Amino acid sequence: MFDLKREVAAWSASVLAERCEPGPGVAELTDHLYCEIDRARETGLSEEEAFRAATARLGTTSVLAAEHAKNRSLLSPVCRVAAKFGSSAASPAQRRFLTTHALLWAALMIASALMLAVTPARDIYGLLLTVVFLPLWWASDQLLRKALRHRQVQ
Amino acid sequence: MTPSKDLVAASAVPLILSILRQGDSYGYAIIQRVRELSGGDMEWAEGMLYPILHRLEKRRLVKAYWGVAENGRKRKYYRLDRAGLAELETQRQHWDKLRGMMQLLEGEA
Repeated sequence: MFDLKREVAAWSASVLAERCEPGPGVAELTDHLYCEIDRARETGLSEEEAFRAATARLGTTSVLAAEHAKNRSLLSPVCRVAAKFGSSAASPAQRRFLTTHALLWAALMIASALMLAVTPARDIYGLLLTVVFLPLWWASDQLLRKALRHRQVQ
Repeated sequence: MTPSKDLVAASAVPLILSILRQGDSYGYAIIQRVRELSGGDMEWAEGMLYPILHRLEKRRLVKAYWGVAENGRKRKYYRLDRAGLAELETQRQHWDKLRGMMQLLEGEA
């Protein structure tokens, strides 16, 4: 069943990831989207049709991003990657969960580096980090995100 | 008669400032007002309006604040600042000058 609130939240998250607008900027755009939806509904469209019409009217997120690029700062590319990285987690609780997971991995990597630093094997730590820890962390992160999404859909 | 892209861009700031002189407003309502004033000929895109509004805010020509709409949603409103009023007056003089020049040229033709 179509859930307007959830669809709008997903759309806002994708806009945030594309444009790297601060929260209030996206909130303003979300209000604009709701106004467009209200107008479309007045013409007799269903909630879902109105949402599709309103998002089509506002343009794709990449088009919006291009239009808003004029106001961007030099740090925007970094910010954009960070926003994209966090956008697949829908709620603040999920984001906290993913951050904790990343911190645990970071702690594990630092602890292993400290332990290896006093052994003759310290020279291979760079290799260990690249070949073992980073791929493992990435795979673990992807699995966790997938599990969170699956749980959210259910 | 749809105005050219260049004309739309050039007239955006004076139009926004003029609309805000009539009272506080927000993005969607400004777009509707422009459509209404132009008889449907001027259709502003959201992607055009908000970057301009944000630039006007940065230049302190308008002041933004958050309010609550009649439907209970959070909404960002814009108010014309004193510097904005002065800017509007300057822009109006430029447009008057341009119109005067056009009329003179038409008279000579």
